[in-house]
Amino acid sequence: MPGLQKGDSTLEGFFSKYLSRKIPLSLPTKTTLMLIVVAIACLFYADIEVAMTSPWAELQRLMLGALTPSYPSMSELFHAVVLTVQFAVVGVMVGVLFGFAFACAYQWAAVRWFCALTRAIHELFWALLLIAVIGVSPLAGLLAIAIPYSGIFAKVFYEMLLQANPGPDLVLKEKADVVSRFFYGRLAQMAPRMARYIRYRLECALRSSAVLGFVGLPTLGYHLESAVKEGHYSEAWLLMYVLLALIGSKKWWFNRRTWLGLTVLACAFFPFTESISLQNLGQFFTEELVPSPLRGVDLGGDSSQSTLSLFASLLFPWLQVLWVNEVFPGVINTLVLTMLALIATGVCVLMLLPPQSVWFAGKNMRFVGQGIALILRSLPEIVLAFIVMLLVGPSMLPAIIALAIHNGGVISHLLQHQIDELRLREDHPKGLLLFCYEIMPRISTQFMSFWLYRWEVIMRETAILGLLGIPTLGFYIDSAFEDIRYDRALLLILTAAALNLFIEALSGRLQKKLYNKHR
Amino acid sequence: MLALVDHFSGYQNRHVLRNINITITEGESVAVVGESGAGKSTLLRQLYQLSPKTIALCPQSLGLVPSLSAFHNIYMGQLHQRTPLKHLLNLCWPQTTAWNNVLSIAKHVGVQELLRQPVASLSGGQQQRVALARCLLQAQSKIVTTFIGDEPVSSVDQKHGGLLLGQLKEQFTTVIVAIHDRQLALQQFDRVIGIQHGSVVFDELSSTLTLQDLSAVCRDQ
Amino acid sequence: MKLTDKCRAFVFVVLVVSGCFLSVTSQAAETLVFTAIPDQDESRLRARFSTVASYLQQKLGVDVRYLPVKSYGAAVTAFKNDQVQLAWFGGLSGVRARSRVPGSAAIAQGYEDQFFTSYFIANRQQVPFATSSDIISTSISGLDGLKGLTFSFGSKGSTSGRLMPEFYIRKHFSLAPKDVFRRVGYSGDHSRTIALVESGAFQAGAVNYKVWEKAVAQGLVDTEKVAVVWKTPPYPDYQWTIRGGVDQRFGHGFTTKVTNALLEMSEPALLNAFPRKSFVPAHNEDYVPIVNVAKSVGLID
Repeated sequence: MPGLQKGDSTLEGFFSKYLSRKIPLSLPTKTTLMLIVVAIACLFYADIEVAMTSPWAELQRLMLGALTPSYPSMSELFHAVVLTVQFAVVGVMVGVLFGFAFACAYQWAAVRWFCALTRAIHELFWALLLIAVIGVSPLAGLLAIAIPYSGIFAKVFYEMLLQANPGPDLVLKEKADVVSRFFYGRLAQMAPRMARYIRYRLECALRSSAVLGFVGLPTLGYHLESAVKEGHYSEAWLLMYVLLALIGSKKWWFNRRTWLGLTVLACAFFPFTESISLQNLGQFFTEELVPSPLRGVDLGGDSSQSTLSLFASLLFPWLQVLWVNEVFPGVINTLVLTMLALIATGVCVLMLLPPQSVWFAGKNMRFVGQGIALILRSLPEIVLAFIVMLLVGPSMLPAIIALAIHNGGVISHLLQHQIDELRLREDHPKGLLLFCYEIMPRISTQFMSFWLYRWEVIMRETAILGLLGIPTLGFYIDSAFEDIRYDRALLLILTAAALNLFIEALSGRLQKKLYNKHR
Repeated sequence: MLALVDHFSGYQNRHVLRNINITITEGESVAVVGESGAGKSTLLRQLYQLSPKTIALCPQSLGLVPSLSAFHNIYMGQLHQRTPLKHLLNLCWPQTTAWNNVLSIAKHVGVQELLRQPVASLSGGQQQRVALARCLLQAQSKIVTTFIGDEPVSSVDQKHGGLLLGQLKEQFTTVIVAIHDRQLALQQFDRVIGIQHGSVVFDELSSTLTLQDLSAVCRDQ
Repeated sequence: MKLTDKCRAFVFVVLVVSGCFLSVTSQAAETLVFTAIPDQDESRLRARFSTVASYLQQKLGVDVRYLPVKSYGAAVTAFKNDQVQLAWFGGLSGVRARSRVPGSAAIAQGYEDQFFTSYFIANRQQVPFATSSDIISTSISGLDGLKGLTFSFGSKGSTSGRLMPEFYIRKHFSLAPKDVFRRVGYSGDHSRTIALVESGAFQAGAVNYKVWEKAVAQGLVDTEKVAVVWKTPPYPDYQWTIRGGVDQRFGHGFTTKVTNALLEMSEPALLNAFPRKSFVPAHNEDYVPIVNVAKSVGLID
């Protein structure tokens, strides 16, 4: 029995021997197990508690608001909807344009790093940085979406083009020019997937309108954030319904026929009003971004040696205080929250997936399942977190739950299409076994790549949950902006970006391993 | 016994199968020959639908799960038996008994060395063998007595194809196979059914047929 | 099918075009732009301050526009970047803004802002000593009972919701809030602090007394569930701050003109936007206590 002997002859200690005794565990299984082990370790450190709350008064108001949606000013609402769509469309299209250009040059390490950096910084932080530089203006909002989206599109497009079947390209080799080969051999294959991805990103951008709201532009996100914050639940729900309707009806207003016209119109009427002041720009870079102990230090030192040591002696205590008080605890809390939210997201996906799929649910059930997924992924995390916090009190728990159900909604939606397109043999098993043996293994690579990609997203999203009293990096970044300490903000953002790049590299390696195994 | 009487199937105005009358009794081995698109696959599917519980099916697309190992793909032949929890355990943590069982089947079709590999990394012929092993595993259950295969040995050379078909006939009481190879059809099967444009052209014992007769319905080989 | 799709597309295009025309605002050459920190009732800020804008426009004879912002930090940034020339700041945000723009000056404050206070509130069910009726004392030992609770400030940049409460907490306990309380949150808004304490999500919190009294008057808070347990000593808070250099831009004596316009504001409808009884003169020196407190807490360098 060759299968048995091989495993027995390799003596790599009890554990590995036991693991390799039969066939080794599949890589997705191993990866998942590893992540779960890490998450359990995090659980010991995690700040999780359930407070005794009496949320009923607030929840009652919340429910009442859901039943009695209203808005005082219809023209304001209409204006908000138009602006939201406009920003989303222009932001995404600018992102696609630059993303595609970068994707073509993605082999160069410099481009790769540049894109990684742009997407490692959350839209929210881009918005905050841009307001600081160019002021509260529509341009800041547009760039806050377009910059990180370019980085994301560049990576995704590049990977899609790589995944294209190399067959057609090989056949055309030596016979056609580079451009035609690219268009016929690769782009044509991947165009439908790219289009689908762009449509999905538009959905994200609609949700990101909250970010533009943050800049002070009266999009839906602006009004929604205010309404939730102040407990105007009737207004909040109406805005939420409008946002849901906008996202739910996307395929009718943003499709093959309309996208071009829509983009042209949205660009043509984009409300560029503010002009950039060069003086502010200069001041920002030469003064605000300089670490505070170095500001006003005389640069005209004679010997560079002493200047350098002077700088170091001034900078070091500042760095040390920041490291001890903000950077280090921020990094730890962020990582712990991210890991736990990641695992919870995986669980959420597994629960949300079957009711949405043709393999497990009837027509009515699917309608309900897809509806729930739509609601879960459309509600901004901050709203979800607020509702959960009312129920269980402030701790990491509401953040984990909010991130998990939001991201679970997103991933299950993306996977549902793939599952429904699968073609199985006629005598496939049913129910749980169908799910575990036929469906999950087939989509495991895809699931892993979405899931691990969400790792980065979750990490960025932990930023906005400062209201829960969890000192993540995002919490400190927000504080630094609120205190107008851009030097600290920059350092913290760069730390967050570095952390993001680390996670991205890690998940990239895992994915590569998974992917190669299945080639 | 499987029987189709005056059977039509297809879309409203376009029949894939026309007026089919076929009866297959237990113990027979039947080859179905015909050009691509003649309706062989549809016929096999209709036959399968008659009694899915007693038939092991090997579709043309094989229906393997590329990311799972050959072991798991073969093991999937057992999933119809009622121990779902054991099946789930085996998915994450393969059990010795299951492994040995699968290994013995794998030896019949010559994939015993490949059990650890994901099916995606196997060649077309190896994948067909794995799919056949999955069917053979089903034969262990007393209920499953019939094999229906759609070109199950098309990626294997004639000699090995013959051996594999022999294995199938040994394990199953009734074997129904769509096949391109005219020689194999005549050598290995008791009965040959020729299909053209969705109708039965001939349905004879293989001993009464010649290669020329088969050429009439399957020119493309 | 095709036709209906085209119809939909057409309708949408019409909507977008009309919406865009709405969004294009005419801009005059010299416009005085002002902003206000979003401290409460944010969704009504536009409505509230557009009446103030038209009042100022009429009084000053220049175009006046209100720029809404989403955070205290954004208000200061807009002031710093000369996007706004006039702003209704809180104590802390005003100090921050003036330190960044040379020549800028506090010109007027609300009557109540001369002796503003913050309330510490607690959930009656969860905090034993808050079960009796309101204990509004200014004796600092009144804070003792708060140790070890979960506590929510308002916005991170708020004077009444963060700076002054934190100052008194540090003063009394000689510890940072995160070491005094079991958990410290920043609700972002005074109204939300009240909601969180009422639901018990946080056991205690600090709020702007104006917002609290308004919420009680409007019945938005259940005083059976939340009690005021302590009140800070008075401190100067909100003020109007104007940039240096507006005299050159808008004409000689413009600062005085703006100051007078603000001080003369007497219509209740206008004053309710803040909400203040009236405005009184203010000077940068009035806010030296805030500067010192902010420095001691470490909120400004």
